[in-house]
Amino acid sequence: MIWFLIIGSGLITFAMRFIFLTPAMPRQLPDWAEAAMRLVPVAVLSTIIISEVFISDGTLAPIENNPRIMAAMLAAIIAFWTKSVLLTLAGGLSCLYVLSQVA
Amino acid sequence: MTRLGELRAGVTDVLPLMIGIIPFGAAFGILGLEAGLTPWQTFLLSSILFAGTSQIIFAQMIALAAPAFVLFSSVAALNARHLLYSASLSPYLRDKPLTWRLILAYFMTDEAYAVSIVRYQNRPANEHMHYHLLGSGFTLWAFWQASTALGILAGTAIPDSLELGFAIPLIFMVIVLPLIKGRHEIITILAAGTIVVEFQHLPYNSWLLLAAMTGISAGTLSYLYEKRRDR
Repeated sequence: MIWFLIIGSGLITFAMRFIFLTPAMPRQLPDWAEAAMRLVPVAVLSTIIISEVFISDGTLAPIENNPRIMAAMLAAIIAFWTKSVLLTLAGGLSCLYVLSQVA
Repeated sequence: MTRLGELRAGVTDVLPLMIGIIPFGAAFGILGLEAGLTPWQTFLLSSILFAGTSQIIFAQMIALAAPAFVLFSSVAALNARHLLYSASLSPYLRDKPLTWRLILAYFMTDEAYAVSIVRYQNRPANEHMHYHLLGSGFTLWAFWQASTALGILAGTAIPDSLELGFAIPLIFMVIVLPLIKGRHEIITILAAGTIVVEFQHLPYNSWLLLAAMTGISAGTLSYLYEKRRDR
């Protein structure tokens, strides 16, 4: 089953990389489709971010004394200023670790 | 420029971006194991799927035990941006032989596209310029495989008390924050976030897909509204 998912995902992705390199395809996508496609990463990734940070056990997590929200806020600041995966992970994960040891 | 010249330019143009690729690939290696994939599944995902963000989404979907249609739609939606890359590279590559187009399509990633499209648009065309994308694409591919392997090897040595699953939203923040350029992105996030909070009870984690699609629709409507108003 996992291999089916891996190969299926690979084929879907390859098809999208290749399709416009065929001479038969139109050169340009409609304007609204380009706008929608540019928004996809923002929509999909923020969906995951919001659910991981603010949801626990299927409901909205409490805001007070919540190590995940604190760690995510710190990480967001680091991510915004440094754009570095390494520094953001170091700051966010160690903050979460320390706060959940204290709690 | 010669073949080798173009190839070398592709490599050197993409090389500075590898600073970001190494920790990203290593993080994926660790998260793949964390999600329950075997070391081989994790490693081969990096060459079969070969698209960083969607590989992490893939791991996340496996960890959530999401059904196949949710996983496939999420991967497809995330990677739909390659349609844009493919369309914009098309004028420069469409007349190359099929084998070349298949190989270059496989190597088409955010970073390789970014450096090679700049070369195609800003420097004079020549018959060997497809070697530039081969250089940038292959370099990224090699670093991606090596850093995934590094992550898989490191993954077994990391203590369980570190909540590594939380690395996923943190990595995504680094990707998303620079993409927020104005009102449309904010509206996209607010719409998606509202669905995430309000529709947790939907079966098969289908709130994931609903949230993303609602966000994209809201953002696109905002774009169309602004365009119509400005006309």
